[in-house]
Amino acid sequence: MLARPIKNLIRELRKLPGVGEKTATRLALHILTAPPERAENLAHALTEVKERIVPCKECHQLTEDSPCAICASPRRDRTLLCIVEDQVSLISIENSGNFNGLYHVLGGRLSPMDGVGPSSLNIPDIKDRVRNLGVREVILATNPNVDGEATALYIKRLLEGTGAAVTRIARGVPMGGDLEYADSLTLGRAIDGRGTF
Amino acid sequence: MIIEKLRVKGFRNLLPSTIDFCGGIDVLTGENAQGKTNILEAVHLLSTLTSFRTRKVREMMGRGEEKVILEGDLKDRDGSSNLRVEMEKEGKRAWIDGNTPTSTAQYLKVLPSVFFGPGDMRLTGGDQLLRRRFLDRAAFDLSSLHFDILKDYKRVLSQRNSLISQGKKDIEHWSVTLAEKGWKLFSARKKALEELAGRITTIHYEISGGLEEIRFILKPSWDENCGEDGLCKALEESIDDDISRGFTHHGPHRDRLKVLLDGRDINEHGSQGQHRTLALSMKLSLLLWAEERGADIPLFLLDDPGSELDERRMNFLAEFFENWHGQVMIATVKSGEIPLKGNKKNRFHRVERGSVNH
Repeated sequence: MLARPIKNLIRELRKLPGVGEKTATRLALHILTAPPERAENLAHALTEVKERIVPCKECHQLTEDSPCAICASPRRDRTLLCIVEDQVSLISIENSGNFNGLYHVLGGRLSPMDGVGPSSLNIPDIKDRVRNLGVREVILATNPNVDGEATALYIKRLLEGTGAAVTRIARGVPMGGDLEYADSLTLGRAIDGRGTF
Repeated sequence: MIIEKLRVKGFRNLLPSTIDFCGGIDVLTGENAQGKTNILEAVHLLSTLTSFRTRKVREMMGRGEEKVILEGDLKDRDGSSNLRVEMEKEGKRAWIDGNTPTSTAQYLKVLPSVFFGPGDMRLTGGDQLLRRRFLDRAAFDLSSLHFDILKDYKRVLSQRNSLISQGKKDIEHWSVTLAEKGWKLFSARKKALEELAGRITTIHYEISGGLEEIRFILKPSWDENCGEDGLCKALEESIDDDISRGFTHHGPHRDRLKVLLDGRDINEHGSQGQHRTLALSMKLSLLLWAEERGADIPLFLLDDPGSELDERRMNFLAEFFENWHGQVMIATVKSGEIPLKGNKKNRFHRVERGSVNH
């Protein structure tokens, strides 16, 4: 029913995370009916991002210039290193505005079942980075699921003997929300990990 | 919650239809292979998202069908609700009142149920997997967090086993995580067992009239007194052994629930009758426990009681159901098998070739 180029576009859009058949069709039809320059801009942006973006040689975040703006900034605290799984986590922490140190992006988390071991991630160079920068505290900000926990434990052990303090991000109830709206897992963990007041 | 209406489409031999339940005791009667158990299975799926027969969706699809749709209209004092499950080859999807649930645990809380069928004799007959599942079910009743603990534990175990199969020894980070989840899992099972043990004994006595002393012992595969650290130590010390045997052999996936009747293991010394009575008592204890702690009363699904239970136990069940205020569904060949006196609302449904006549 649909012309081949439209079907192609829908098929490619469907490969994006969170995009199903309906959304892909809607996006494809939107692109099709939009002014030609909008589609050209999108195509250009897609090509450019693949051509010009490289991982930062220091922290492995995606950047146009390596080292990235964060690693190159003289205003960041270079003795504080936050280890995250991916770019999305980095953006979230950066948006919080509460962290002024450097990052280290792992590029995933350990999962032997899926063939992901320490050497498939940006783990082997962490120790050297911590030593070279003279880091005093490493914050492990991997996701709070079992694979993220095991990854954090692995890195904690790896950093023994470097002299850096190793901390783990806290888990609990989100601010600004009533307890009744927190899901039972989050609430249960918040109660498990309660602290003295 | 009680289920008032069940709509089925594409499920086993059942014709597309709506089945109206009375909410008290619904008895599904008919010859073998007509679809009685299929109706119980459909309700069980709607309640627990699992079948008591198979894990393969393909097996549950009717001939020539590509999709199964199950929908239940539920009611309790506070109002009404709707559950919907769709199954295709690729998997299952579920809705509560038209919305996707935030978690499986949230879904499972809506229409709790307890099933008892011929396969449950294995519950006391040495099937440790079934016994652990029974305890997990009880622990979930205590806290819905148990579902996530179990899921996490299974994932860490698979991750550790994956490394073991590759002969890797540097896996302490997985052992520590496994011990943390494992200790929580074991503690929750133990707490649930402590709650249930007394109730099982009471029901067992009421059914059999016997005065046997029943004891339950949950035996972990490591020194329980050493807690989480003890499990972690056991895991680290057994790495070589694990690698040579190809799996992790410490942890709650190896928990053993021993049942002693007058101090003797029921597996070695129990009669068929004792097994039946005890297995039934274990399942019924979940109902009593829910009632006593003021939780939602589970729906009780009873499949083919005549194949396993004698007249004395049938009489007990009939009386138990008529005095209990939860919903009961029974699939049976003979309508008179359960001697109901009519003290509670009941309805008989005749099931023939996948269709129900009220």
